[in-house]
Amino acid sequence: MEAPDEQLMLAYRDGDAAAFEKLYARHRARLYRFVLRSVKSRAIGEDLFQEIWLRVIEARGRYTPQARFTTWLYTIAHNHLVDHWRKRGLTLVALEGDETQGTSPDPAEQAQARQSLERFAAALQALPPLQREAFLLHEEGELSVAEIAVATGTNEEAAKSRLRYATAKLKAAMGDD
Amino acid sequence: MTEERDPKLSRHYRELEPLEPSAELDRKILDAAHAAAARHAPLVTPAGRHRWYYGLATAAVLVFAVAVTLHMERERPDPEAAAPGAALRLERELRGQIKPAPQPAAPSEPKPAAKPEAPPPVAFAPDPQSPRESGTAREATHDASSAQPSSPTRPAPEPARATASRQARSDAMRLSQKQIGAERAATAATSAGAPAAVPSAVPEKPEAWLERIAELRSRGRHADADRELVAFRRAYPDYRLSDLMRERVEGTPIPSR
Repeated sequence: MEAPDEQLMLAYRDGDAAAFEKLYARHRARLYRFVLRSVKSRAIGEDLFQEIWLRVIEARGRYTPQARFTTWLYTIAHNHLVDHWRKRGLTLVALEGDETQGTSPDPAEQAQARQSLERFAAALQALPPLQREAFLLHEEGELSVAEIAVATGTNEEAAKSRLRYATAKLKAAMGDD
Repeated sequence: MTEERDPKLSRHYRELEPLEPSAELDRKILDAAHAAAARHAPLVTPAGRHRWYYGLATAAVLVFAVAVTLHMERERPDPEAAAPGAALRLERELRGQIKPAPQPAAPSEPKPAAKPEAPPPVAFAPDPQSPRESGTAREATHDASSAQPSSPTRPAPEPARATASRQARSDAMRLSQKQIGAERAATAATSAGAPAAVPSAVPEKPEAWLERIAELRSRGRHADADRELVAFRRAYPDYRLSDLMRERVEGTPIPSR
């Protein structure tokens, strides 16, 4: 039976570097995709990914297993992404019904797309950042609405609404609705 | 929250490009994690392969503590080995009885100091003014005397008498603890009326040296006592012996006045 994430993080906090290796192996790919799909540049995404893990390393002494490790990890990732967006002059005001932060997929272009995956990827990129983040946290991080609310520093209603809007837009883009 | 997940969207999402960090990126992060773990030692007992560190450290501390204790035990002088009668007698003699007196002539001819391997016994006597540092001072002077086999002011004893000399030094050390008050009185008397008698560069106080000579005399080792007295006269040519002390170190009774 494998040790839970929280136990591994506590072991790393106490100096066991091997515990971090296991923890990193479990979450590296998901967090990497979450970050890279939250930004448009692969290079920036890789920098952010590395910086997020460095923040995890630096914050290990303050870690207490009050919530799932995944929630803690994606909270750090969210905060770092917010810092990144703020540096770039982007505002994160996209809440329910906010259509100004993202470019809605052009139905004509989407219809012309040859592959549904490209369409889906475009729709995902077209989502407002907070809605996309909520969706990615849900899909990649496997976070619940409550955990998304914790990770993004909002309430459950807002998290649920973001996720619902994101799902609706993606379904509309894919023609599934 | 599973009710919010759309299976079709999830499937579409899973079909996206399977992104993964590069090996170089993994290495950078893991190196940083290892470096951070190495910088900050764990505050709790480590598990697994790091557990033996604590056992080794505990054993090292115990060995060190035992070694220090044994060392201190060996270096501590045995208070029961001192002759209580001699100490009491010495204390009575020295208390207020050191007076300026004319220097007596050397009782015997000086013998050549040609044995550098024997350390000068005077260097082993503790400083009566600082009895707490007697052990340290003894070690330091022992080293110094080993490095300098012959004193420029006093001849060294012959090696055949080294054992007896060490015994005398040990006795003098024990007795010197009780000489503190007497020596202070003698110093005060000397500074008040007599010229300065004790050279500050000589490690052993003249009172301790004289006591050692008196001990040798009382044990019947007159040759050693004579030799030491000659050396003492060379080191302290202007030291004034009291009548009582002169009787003890010279072995001749004082004529009644």
